[in-house]
Amino acid sequence: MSRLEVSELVAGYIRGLPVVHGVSIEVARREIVTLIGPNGAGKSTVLKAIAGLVSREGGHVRLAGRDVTALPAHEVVSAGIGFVPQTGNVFTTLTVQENLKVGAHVIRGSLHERLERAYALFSPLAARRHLRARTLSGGERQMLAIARALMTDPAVLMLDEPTAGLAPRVVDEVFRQLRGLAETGIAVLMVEQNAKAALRASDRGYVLTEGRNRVAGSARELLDDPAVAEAFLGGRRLSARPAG
Amino acid sequence: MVAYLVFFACVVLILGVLTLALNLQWGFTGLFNAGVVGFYAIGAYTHAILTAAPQPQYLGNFGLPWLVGVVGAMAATALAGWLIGLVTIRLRGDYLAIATFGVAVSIQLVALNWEPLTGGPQGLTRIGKPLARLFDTPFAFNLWFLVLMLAVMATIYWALDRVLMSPWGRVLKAIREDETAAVALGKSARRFRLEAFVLGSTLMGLAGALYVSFIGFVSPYDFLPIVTFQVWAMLIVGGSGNNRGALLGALVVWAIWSGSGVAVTKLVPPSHAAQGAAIQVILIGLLLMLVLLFRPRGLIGEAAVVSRHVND
Amino acid sequence: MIQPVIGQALADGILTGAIIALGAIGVTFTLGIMRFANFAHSELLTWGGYIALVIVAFAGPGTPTGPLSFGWQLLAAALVAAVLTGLAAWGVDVLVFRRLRRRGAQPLTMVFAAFGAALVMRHLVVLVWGHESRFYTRELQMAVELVPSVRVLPDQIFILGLALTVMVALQAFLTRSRTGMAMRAMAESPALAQVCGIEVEAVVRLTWIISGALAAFAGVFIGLTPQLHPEIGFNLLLSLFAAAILGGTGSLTGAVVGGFLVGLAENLSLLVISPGYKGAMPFLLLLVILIVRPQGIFGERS
Repeated sequence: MSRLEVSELVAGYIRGLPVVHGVSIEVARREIVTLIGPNGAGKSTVLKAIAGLVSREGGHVRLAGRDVTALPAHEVVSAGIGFVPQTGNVFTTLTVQENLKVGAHVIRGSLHERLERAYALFSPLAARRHLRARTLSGGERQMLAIARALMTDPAVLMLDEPTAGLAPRVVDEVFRQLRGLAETGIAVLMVEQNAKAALRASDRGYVLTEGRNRVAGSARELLDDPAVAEAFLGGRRLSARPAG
Repeated sequence: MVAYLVFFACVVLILGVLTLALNLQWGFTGLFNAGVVGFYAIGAYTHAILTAAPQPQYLGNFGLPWLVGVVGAMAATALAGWLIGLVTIRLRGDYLAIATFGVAVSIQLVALNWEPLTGGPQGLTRIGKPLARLFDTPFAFNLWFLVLMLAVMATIYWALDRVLMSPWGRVLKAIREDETAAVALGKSARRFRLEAFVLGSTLMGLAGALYVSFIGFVSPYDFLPIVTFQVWAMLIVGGSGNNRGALLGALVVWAIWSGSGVAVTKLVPPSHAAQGAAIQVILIGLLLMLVLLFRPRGLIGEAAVVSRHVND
Repeated sequence: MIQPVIGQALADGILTGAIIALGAIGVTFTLGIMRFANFAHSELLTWGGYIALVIVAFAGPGTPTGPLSFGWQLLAAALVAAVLTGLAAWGVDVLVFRRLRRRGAQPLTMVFAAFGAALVMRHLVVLVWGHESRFYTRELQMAVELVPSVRVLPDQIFILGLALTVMVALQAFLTRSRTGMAMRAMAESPALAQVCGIEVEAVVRLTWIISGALAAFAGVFIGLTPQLHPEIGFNLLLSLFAAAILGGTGSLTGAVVGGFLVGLAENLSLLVISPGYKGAMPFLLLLVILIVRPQGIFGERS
């Protein structure tokens, strides 16, 4: 059974004006799944709808079989779905440590172990634990945002464009971290504009356009598909050898 | 009874000018002016200072003709609107409300304290009325004033209509409808808003001049924050973004206010007048909150969300 | 000699400032967490003062303890008033503001609703008690001369101490407790706070209760020094907002510092301008800060 199962999801920012028209995706444990597609395809909206931040007007979201569609956002978190938004994903007025503590808001007990685990996973954060998050670099903030979401031991981790604005070396590092997290059993679902790099780091992918499913398949299949390459990956099949 | 209705109609029309002005600032431009009474006061006092019969203890009281007073009032309020707008328009919505509220409070304090100019708590009397000499009874004057107000209102209504249909007005509406258009226009959007704010303020000053030339005296106690609240209520009840709604709202709210005032004086013994007045305000406050909660569009307002473009 | 006059103005400014600070904290919370200018907040001060008056009318203010004009009973009354006012503040939210919030009303609709609520709240007090001034106790106090030419009442010193204690306790709560951190998180980003599992309505409820309780203390303190009347809250409306914005919206430290600065400015200004214009001082401060540094002293530029 998939860890996360979304079926026929209809959602939007304004009631009666859905942006997502019946999207279905699945993510299994230890899997990394990426949503790609043009701007305005509703990819971020899908994540926000799962997280409970926008109104869901149809369809279902199931977490290990449990229907979580109608839960308010704060209960979605305690159910086991963590979300890293694209922007505004850390509290700049709080310190690194406070950000992590707030992330663990729904957890009672074992806070100390979780903090130490977060610092072990993301060592730059340990050095800056009492500094305001505002003083962190872009890459460090992203780390903090992910660490914050991990504080609740989520079964599913959703990330909205986790590599936006990051240097290529840092992008690689982020994807490496995500692979490591998936290995520990988490189901990872992300939206990425950086489609090629994301697919290379993922197991499977879905292409969404205009709020609907278009193509789905393993990451390899999508990278090989000429139509997908044409539209979303810069017009060249990535698995082809470079000329010359 | 007829005399009362004539008086009532004149006041409604004057308040209608205020409401139309506020509609221009809020309904069409999205600026939350919580200091309406301040501009009203500037217009009123300017007119009073220019036209009141000269007296030795006052700095002003120039005894000038009525028309000069009215034009002077509009000019003064336009200037005030421009200065205040320059500072406050770029503020986000509720900060603009606080700032304009503070402006009105400060103006009222000046009116109350600067005795040599404003007459202090006693105010000023013998203010220039239009063609007062031609009418020997108060009723005759009020009737003439009603005719004058109808003409003024018709002119303002028609002029506002034309202005809003003009290219300038269309840009204003575009700014209101679409935030990104406003951002793209950048500084120019602010200039349009400032112009709309100044125009609205000028009309408020005109209303102030008309008010004091109607009753013949000016007092700082006529310009308390509750007046701003009343004008806002008129706009909300009638339906903002809509000039017809503004006028209808002025009529309805003022009728309720006056009517409840009369009812209270009849039902409540004079020894409890303060309590009676409190009941009146409570009822109207509740009425307005009920309108906001259950019929936010007002009586004939638009359903459209106004001013998504406010700077926050 | 100008110094004694300045000394007295400073002392008065600090005492007034403490009261303004207590009220401004509630304003800054609603501006920061609920993001709207609650024009009805000042009426919570009035209600707090009068609710305590009701309790004192039954239980008495207590026999004067030491140099103070009251006994512990007045403090107990203030505590009860704080709880009741906090609940009343939350009640107004549930009846009016929350409904509008849920409907997605614009912040400006909320401001107007707040204006209306303020009118109703203030005139309910007039309805029951009329306009006359009321007192908690008829005890006369002798002013104490702290330094030459600076006179304060023992009650005022006690109030200052109590106000500072409350502020310190609140700061500790905000920085050390889970709930306090949740409030600070919500003040920065409600969406992110939700994603951390923070329940918005719970934080909102707590914010109203704390704001109302602080306002009640401020109202009781005003009533002690020296009297209650229906306008005590409304008279401070501009000062409260000026203090909150001056200090930086959403910042507790800002509201406290802002409160003292506004209190000092108001009282020092009396040395140069006529008392009639005192009400315009907070507005001038507000204008200056909005032009020079709109995010306030401790605010973050967004």
